[in-house]
Amino acid sequence: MAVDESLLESAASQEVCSLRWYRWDQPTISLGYFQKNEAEDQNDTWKNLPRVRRLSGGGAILHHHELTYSFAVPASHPLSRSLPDLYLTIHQPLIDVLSAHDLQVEFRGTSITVKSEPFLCFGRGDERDLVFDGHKILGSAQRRRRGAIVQHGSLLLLTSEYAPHFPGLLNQFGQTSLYNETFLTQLTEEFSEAISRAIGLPLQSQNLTDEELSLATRLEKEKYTQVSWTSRKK
Amino acid sequence: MDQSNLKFTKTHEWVSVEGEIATVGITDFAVNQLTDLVFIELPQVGSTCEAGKVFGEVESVKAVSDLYSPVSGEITEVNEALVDDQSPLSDDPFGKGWITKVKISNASELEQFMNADDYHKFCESEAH
Repeated sequence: MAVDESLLESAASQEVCSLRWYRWDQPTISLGYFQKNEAEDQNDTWKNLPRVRRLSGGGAILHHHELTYSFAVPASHPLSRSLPDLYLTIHQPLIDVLSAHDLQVEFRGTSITVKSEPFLCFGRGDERDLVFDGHKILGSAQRRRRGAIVQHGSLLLLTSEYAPHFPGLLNQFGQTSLYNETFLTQLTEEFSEAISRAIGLPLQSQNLTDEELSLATRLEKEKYTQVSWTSRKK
Repeated sequence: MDQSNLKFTKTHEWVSVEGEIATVGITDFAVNQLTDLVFIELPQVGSTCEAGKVFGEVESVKAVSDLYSPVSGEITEVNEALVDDQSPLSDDPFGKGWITKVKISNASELEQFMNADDYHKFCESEAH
């Protein structure tokens, strides 16, 4: 989360567009920015998992057996002008790549609005979600700062034992054996290339700059690991 | 509200000044960009705000956006009704959708803002 915010700052102040793929070293709940972190939101199956609060909106993500991405775009880029369109722009290449692997997913197409939204993002329904057979397999959220946007999202590949009611993409296709390092690396490379083509910007692989790393380290220490942040009250 | 009496910023806030009190909101252009609003976080009455700095946050379509204060001063009032119901922001952004009232500390900040005609031209250029 700290790195994603650091990349948003780079987009806002340095005009840098970035795409990042990552996984989590342990099953973790990431809370939406405005979500409460209170007892009534806990569930026996996931209540003991570590939690972190995102800077983006939406519901909580259970990061387990999934791929997470973040995409940061500066205010000067046309993609920053429409929040809804940015979801579509990034999600369409993911559909195309998955389809090439015979994993056909689609946009949900219609939003599901209820008075009391489920705690977990994968229980909520936005028209720009990616679904297979009605089951959400990818959802994204955004943060806008000084016109720049960071969008991050989660692609659920395998069903998590902490939320068995949300089937993973590979489970639904009977392809769970694909969940291995080789395939995941291939997927992220193909996703990156497809997104690069879709937005018309060349791919250049690089590590975080010293400045980005320094900011991320400070944000991790002073913000994202602080209880005051994770349990912030509205 | 008659927009000819309002001043506008490039970050799509509007300001209406009466005496030393500035009423602040976000424009219809901003609301349309944000689409369906579901949360707003307002500053505390009595706190200070600074021109160009964040004074609140809104969430729409799973996107959290910062709100920037057009003026510096002390927050004297906030539109608490928006916390439970954000619809005035889209239904009446220049009226019932006002967000804060600020006792301005630097009136010269108002000189840099656009009038309604210039703001609408600015929005047209932003949309293309």
